Amino acid sequence: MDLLHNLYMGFSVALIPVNFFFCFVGVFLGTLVGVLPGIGPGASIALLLPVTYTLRPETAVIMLAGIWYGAQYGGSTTSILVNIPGEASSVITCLDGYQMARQGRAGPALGISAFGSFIGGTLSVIGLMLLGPWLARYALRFGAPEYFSLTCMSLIILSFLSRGSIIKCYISALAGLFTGLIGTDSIYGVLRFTYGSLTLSDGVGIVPVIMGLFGVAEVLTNIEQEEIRDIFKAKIKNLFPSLKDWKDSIGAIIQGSVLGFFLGIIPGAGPVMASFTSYAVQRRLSRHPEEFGKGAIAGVAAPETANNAASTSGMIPLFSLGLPSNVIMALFLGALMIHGITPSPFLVTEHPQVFWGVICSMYVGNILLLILNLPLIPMWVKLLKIPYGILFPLILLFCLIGVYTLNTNSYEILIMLIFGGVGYLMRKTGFEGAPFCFAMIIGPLMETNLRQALLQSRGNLGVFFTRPISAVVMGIACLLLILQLVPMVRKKSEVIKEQEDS
Amino acid sequence: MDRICGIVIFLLGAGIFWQGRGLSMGNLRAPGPGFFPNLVAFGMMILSPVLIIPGKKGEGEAFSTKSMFRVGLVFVVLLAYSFTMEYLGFVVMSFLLMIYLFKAFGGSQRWSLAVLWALISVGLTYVLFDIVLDANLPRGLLGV
Repeated sequence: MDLLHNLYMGFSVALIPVNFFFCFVGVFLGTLVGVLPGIGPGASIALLLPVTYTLRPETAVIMLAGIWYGAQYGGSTTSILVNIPGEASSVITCLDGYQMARQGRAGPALGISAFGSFIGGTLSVIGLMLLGPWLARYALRFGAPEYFSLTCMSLIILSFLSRGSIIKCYISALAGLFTGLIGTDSIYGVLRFTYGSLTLSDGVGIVPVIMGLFGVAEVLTNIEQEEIRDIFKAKIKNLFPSLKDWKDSIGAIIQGSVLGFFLGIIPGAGPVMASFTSYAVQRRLSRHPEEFGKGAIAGVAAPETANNAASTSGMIPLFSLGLPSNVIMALFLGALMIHGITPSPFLVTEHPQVFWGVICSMYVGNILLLILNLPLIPMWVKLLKIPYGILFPLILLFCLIGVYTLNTNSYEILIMLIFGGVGYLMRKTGFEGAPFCFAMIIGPLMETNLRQALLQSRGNLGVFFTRPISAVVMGIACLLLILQLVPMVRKKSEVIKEQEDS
Repeated sequence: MDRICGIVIFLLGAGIFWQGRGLSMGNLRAPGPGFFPNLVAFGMMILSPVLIIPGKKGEGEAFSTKSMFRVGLVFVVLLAYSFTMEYLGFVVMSFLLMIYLFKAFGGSQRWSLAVLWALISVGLTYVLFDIVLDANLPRGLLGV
């Protein structure tokens, strides 16, 4: 009965005209940035953060969440039609999606990815609803050692995501950890690495860094590339998959939902890992693995379902532990903090309108996305025809204004540009931006909890291994680290890399 | 390429040690503000030889001077924008910047078209941010 009561409250929040409107704005913008190359959900959520200051907290998160899961829908459209993934989580969809489009089956491919996304997203919302409050009660037992172990584990998991060298991924993360430390020390209040700068004494903001690494760097990388785009010209028909298509992909959708949901919860994993893993698992399970890569509909359904499921379940650690599981969640955390809400195990009980309102808005948002995506696909495709020569200067202008209005401080522009330059060099030398950003967010949490744990235990490092929850998490982390050192895993990641390249 | 990256990372780690020497390390019982930064710097210095020593071939794209120049130029212009924008005003500087960017990215785009696009984009963003969202964009010396 409790659940019904909460759902009733949630829907009464989600269906208020203002919230419904911003939910629509969110999923619309999400689809847009998902379709457009060069700007992703991270940079656009960062850009819109200042706009949300004037909104109520639940409305703000409803809109930002809409951008987040909306982008997962939009990313698949470009993967299928032009073989350019709109988002990192749709990279794997290119393999079979583009092949299907070339065989004249773009319609069913787009259709199944929209329906798959809908089913995955909805099942994941149900999971979030059931698991979130339970985990929040459980999380009350978490202390500093547990949080430190969790952050360690999430950094190690993140390195499994790396498409290139694992060492480079760890180095990237270390550099991110350091960047997160700049500013005022959380325990003693000492200024660190600020060199007298007032802007830096607050720490390096996550928003300018994200816009630099993912917005500016992307544009800079694209300056040197010639514009080669093969816009899909054929008419898209039969958006509704046939009965046979459904039969071929229903297993993949269920598998993708479950796998995506659980991978999404783990801090450090998330939609990108979910889509890759789900594809690999689906090929292993399939009775016709040779069809994968040649236009198998299950190869589109599995990753597209999984990335949506994961993007939704990624909110569980934030809402129940107060731990952001990826860069986007860190931005949500920022949006909530502005309104004086600190995500913690108490969030569900103290701010039920935020928790249940956001959950219910996601049911609404998923339905809106289905409507936005199926009949309106031709419109999204037209957007792809905007020449880069117009699109990229506009993205830069938006980044410049967005980051300036954040604090009305032109040093923030400078910080963004510096990280844009760094991000460009990192791309060219094979370092990835995602571990850097994630480590930067998790860094202060990691440091504070490590130091508090050591203070409480009087310098006994064993505390991480003797408290049961912490011991289990640390155990998993160590196991993963050992697995990574075994060259077999190395080879596997190379296989995935090859698949992606081909 | 990897070798250069490795050396840069090593120097970065060493630099953090050097710059952080004023922060007290504390001890395990009461870790000070310098504890974690040093841990991070240590990690960087430990990992960097893995990149330096084997000197793997082929990884990482080669930088061509031509493309580096193009990217560098855009970057320098953006930096110049960030330094001058507050003094000379948002509208003027953004207009100039956008003309440059449309020319730089658009390749063969005509001047008149670039100016038109710059006018539209700056005008719309000004209306959206300054008037609708009340964001207080700097007017600068020229008062516009």
